[in-house]
Parts: sequence; C-alpha cells; structure tokens
Amino acid sequence: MSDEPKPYSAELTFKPGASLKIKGTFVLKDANGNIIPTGEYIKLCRCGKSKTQPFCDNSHRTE
Amino acid sequence: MDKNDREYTNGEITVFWHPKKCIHATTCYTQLNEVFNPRKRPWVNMTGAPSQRIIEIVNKCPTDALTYKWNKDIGADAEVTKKDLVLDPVKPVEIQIMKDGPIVITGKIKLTDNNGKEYKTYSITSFCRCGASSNMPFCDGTHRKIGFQG
Repeated sequence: MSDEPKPYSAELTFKPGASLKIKGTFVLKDANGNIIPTGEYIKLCRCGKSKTQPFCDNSHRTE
Repeated sequence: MDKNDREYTNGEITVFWHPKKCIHATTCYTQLNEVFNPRKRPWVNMTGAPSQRIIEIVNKCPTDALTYKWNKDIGADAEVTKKDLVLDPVKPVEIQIMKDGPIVITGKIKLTDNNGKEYKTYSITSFCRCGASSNMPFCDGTHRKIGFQG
C-alpha cells in the first residue's frame, strides 16, 4: 500500500566533505534548548567552518 | 561487552559506562559533578548522590554511554538502556545542537550517503559538527580534542 506511513519521519543525506541535508518532520533546537524555526528542509554544517552555525553556508567549499 | 566498559555500584544500583558510545554531551559531569568527575579515578563516585538522583542524570545522557540497573533485578537484561524507550512514530524527530559538540538526533530517521548507501541508525544518533571525526558522519568525541567552538 502506497499510503502506508513511512517507518521514519525525517530523511538524512550527506556527501563526504559537505553538509547534512535533512528533509521531513522535525524540531531543531539550539544549544540552549530553544527551538530554531525551520522549514521542512535544512542543511546543517558538518565541517565546523560555517559562519551561520548550525546551518551550512558552503564554507566547506573554500579550503 | 566492550573491554573498556566499566561498572560502578553503590549496592542498590549499578551504573554501566560504555565509553565507545560517549558523545561528550557533558550532561553527566556538568549536572552531577559529585558523582561524575572525569578528572578523578575512578571517574564515577557512587557515594556522591542518592540513587534516584544518579538515575535521573543517567537518563539525561543522550546516548547509552551511561545506563543503569537496579541490583535487585537479577540478570544482564535488567540494564535499562535508552534504546528500549519506545519511540512514538508520530512524534517529530528532534535535532539538538550541542554546544561545541555534535548534532544529536532523537527519533526515527533514515540516513543515506550520496551513493545511496544506507547507514544503520539508532533511536539516538549523533553526527559530527566539527569536521574532525574519524568515524564520519558520526561523532567520535574529537571535537573536545581540537577545541571546537560553535
């Protein structure tokens, strides 16, 4: 049945050296536990260099 | 059981320490330093607080690095792990950014890389945010060694 619920509520994909892409239903919280409003698709920094933490700003491309 | 695993007891409860599962969220030693003190050996002092308080902090550990069991419950199955917690499939996934640490994701997720390879995930999965993990995309605690801030 195509309308069966998926066994997960968020899909994550990543490429080595690039961001973590998250799509689905989720709540994002900062280090203080405050909710950061987002849409249903975000890209989180994985390289540690982003100026817009926790989001990716493509800093990983500028080595 | 991993060779680095340790057990600590006060006679009433036993706390299990699985260092390989630690993501250095720092919850234990920042909230109950009388019991959890990484600068001391042994680093867990079971006489530092009542059992209920220790259990409260162990349950706040975002991974199964710290678990516990009541000693009166005989058998290894009595170890209370967080994976045993039943996740509500309707509840949205929670993505928690840890200060100077990883992305900790709680809930049902599907993880694939750009080649379509699917990775096994658990009810709690922590992802590297500092760029220096040797176990990408997962956190291995390296952010502490490199002094990651963010």
